[in-house]
Amino acid sequence: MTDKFKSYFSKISLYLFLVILLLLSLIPFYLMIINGTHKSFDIVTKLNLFPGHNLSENYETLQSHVNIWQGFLNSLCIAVPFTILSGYFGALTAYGFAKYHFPGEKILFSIVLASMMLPPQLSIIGFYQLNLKLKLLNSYFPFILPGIANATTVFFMRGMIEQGIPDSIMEAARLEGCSEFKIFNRIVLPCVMPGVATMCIFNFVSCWNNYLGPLIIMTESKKYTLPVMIAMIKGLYLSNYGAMYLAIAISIVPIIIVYAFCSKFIINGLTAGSEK
Amino acid sequence: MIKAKKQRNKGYYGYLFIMPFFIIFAVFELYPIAYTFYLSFHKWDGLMPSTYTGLNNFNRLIHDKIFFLTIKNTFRIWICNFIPQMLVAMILSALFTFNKIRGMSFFRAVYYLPNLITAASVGLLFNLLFNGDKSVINHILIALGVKGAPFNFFQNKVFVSGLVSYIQWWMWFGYTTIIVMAGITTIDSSVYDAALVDGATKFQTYRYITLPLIRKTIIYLTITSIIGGMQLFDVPATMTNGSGDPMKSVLTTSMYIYNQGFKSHNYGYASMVSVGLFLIIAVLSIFALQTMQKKESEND
Amino acid sequence: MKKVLLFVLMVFCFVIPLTVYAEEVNTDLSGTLEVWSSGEELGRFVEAFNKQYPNIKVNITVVPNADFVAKITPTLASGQGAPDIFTGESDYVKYLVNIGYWDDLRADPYNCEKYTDDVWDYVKSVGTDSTGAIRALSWQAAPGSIIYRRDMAKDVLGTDDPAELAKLLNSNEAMLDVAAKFKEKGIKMFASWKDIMNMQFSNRAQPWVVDGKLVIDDSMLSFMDMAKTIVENGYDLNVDPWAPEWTAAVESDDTFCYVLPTWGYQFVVKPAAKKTLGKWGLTEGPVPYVKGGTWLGIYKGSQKKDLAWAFLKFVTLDSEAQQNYAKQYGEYVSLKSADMALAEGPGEEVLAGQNLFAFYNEEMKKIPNDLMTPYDGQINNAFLSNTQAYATGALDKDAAIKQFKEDVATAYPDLIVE
Repeated sequence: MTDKFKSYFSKISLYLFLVILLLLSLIPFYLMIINGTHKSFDIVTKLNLFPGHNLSENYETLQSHVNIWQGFLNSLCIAVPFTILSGYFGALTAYGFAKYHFPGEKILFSIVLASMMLPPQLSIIGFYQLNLKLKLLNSYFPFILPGIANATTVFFMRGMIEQGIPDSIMEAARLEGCSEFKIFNRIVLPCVMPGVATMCIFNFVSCWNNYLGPLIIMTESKKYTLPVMIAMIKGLYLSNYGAMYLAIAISIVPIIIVYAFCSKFIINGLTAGSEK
Repeated sequence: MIKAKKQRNKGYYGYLFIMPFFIIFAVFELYPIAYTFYLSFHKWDGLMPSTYTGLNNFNRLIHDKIFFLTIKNTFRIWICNFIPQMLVAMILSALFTFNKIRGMSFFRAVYYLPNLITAASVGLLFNLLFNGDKSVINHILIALGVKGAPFNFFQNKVFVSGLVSYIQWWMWFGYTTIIVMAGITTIDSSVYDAALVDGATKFQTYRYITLPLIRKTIIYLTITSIIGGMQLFDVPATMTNGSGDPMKSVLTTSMYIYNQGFKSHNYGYASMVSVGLFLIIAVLSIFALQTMQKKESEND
Repeated sequence: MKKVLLFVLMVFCFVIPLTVYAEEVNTDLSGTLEVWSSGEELGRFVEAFNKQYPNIKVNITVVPNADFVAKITPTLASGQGAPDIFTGESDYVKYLVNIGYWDDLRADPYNCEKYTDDVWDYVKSVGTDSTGAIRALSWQAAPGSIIYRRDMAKDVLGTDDPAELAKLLNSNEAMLDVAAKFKEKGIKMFASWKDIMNMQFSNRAQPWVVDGKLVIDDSMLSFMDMAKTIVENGYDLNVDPWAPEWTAAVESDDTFCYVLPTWGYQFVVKPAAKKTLGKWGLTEGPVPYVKGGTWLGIYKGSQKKDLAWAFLKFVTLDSEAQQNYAKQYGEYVSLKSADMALAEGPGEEVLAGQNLFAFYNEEMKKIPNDLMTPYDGQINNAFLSNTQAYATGALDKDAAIKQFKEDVATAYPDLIVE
């Protein structure tokens, strides 16, 4: 009796723990989205738990200040290529570091790590001047191309590959006559897809939410990305809360879609284990 | 002899694989980094020509009380976020790996959601909830009859610092859990079978088998957390409008850099502070790396 | 008789078309003008502007104010991609005026001094750099006021008349006495003590920086004590300006007044006043003051200076344009003739019929000299931050002043701080 009770009790406390975490995660999220349907005045005076009636009004205010769908498109045109590049080249570079040993390997990898450590606030000045010289101002390229050199992805994938891909696989493939490049594309990459997918979600989000960079590099407001537009909606006199939260809600939707899409790869990986 | 040579030749393929990274890195990332280092030896207001000042900025930095205060603040906020974050991630990943939890993917998906919002929006939301006598939370507390309400949440140093740590935890614990679980997928399931045959409990399996095998993942999480944590900017900046008040309790080093550069137009000194922060992050990371790798060799 | 009629008819046929052309539709100037503005208000002039200049396309890019200087600096430094016109908010306008990237509007081809007599003095003075060159002008003027609730005034003080109230609020001590009276009735007098900083700021005898040295005016020191009294006695809402609760207090039952300039009425009180329509009034405090506003200037490297001047002149020096704008949006403008004309117009519903132009015109006559320096933005922040520490009891007065000096030295190491 007591054993059954104990296991019942532990199961309940387990689920309780999970549900509390769930609520903690969701509530601020929920509040922000609900706020998008309320009047700005209501947002600042009371706690709004249920959807309001101001959705269309907020949307009109929103559109009168900025073209939110243009911003949406701009963000998309930057984030999608960036994510794909960072995923593929991150894995490629990590593979190079993980499975091959060459002189200077340690130093080069330290450079990869060290590049992440300098705080990015002031780099924007040098970045602006660089893109000015390269004639890439007011375009998507300054934000897409660096996807090829994404240090976080390389760092993570290197660990994944070292942990998950035994040398024996590569040897076997070589004996069958595969080129190094083919080994990577046909064998290694599919194996580490869960890791790549995880990094892709993360990279998409950080690229999508990038604010200071697009603000300074884009010289025309029609090239502004979503985070810049959200800052614009705030307005000098901070009175457009409703429109602002609506913009935030719109901004989150594609991220959730990308997350749902990439999650498929992760879930498959977790249940299947590493297939040989 | 021939086999060794063949292996060495294969080794050089590594260069090919890493080349795209380093080419783009050299073009897009090296210049801004080098430029920041270059600026740290100059005095520049952003518009007039810069003047060379040698080690003046460095001298100012090592005597700068505020710089060290910001390092303390940033480290405190990070540690109060990192430890709970790793604990929860470990617990959750253990629960999900060893138990059949119904709706596991749903739970995991929702836990990751907080990571998706811009930190700036979150700072704004929490400001709305807590700032002022008639803020939402105070409303609730007054309605519940809590003694002492309404509280001056935003005038309390401990509260504001704790709130920033909480927000960081809230935004990252789901991500950390996913990463740990991604690391666990690399472990061959036969290892677990062997352990269970030997009669190990779930907890023992997790502690002595899983954890060491995902060492690389844990190292990744720690180092990136140090780097991201010490560079913290968005949340405290939007919550306190760039001031880090009350009493500069949440003034992080990145906020200090931003204010010195873009508000006070001391780009040269701001660059020096960036370099200072970079060095501190590097030291912390090396320390963390050594500690973890020492543990690795001890376990072997 | 017939001949006279014919003559009159002919005169009309010639004169009336001429008066139509007196509007001067200018089709010679054509091209695209690039404007960077930190707010949307500037865009409201474009439609009327295009009636006079149909061939100039005005392209306004709004840049969030908090990062405006961060965005404009690398652009100006590199000399490429800079707009033809860019704005400067009052917090950092003096800095922009002095760095010399705006053209001197007194010189050819602008010769603004033909028109600037009609501009309120302080607007001109803020836009003037240390050599006397006029670099920027504004379409706004921002004289200060106390925007108060008439019903509460009647209830607690027995009168809601602006002149009577001004007498009751004619010194810092008087204001605090009134605050105590309100407190007894459960009403917080101020929305935030930080609003009053603007008033005291204009009350100084000296600017923050004189000859490269930090100067702390006595009025600032006494303001610190006033802030402490307000916080300790609970005379305000305990929030920062622009916090959601501060904006919401317009419709509340327990906040008496906002100590704000014209934009406070226009952007805080007027849009929110639904329940409280007709219950507000404008009066003055112990000292008249100015705070805020947006200036604009012409980029010295612009290739379209003639177009830029056409727009700038329309917005900042054209009385009729400003009158039309003010009639539509209720904003207090920078030209004396425009404000005088508008004072004759109808009053505001929210203010129970009080005409805000008439009120502010009186204020503008009394305001003190402009004491703005390029360092004001950061110094004000540091001062407010440390006054808050003192007011809430975290630091004593000497420690707060010491910390303030240290903060100023950190922000501007070139200044002499004793």
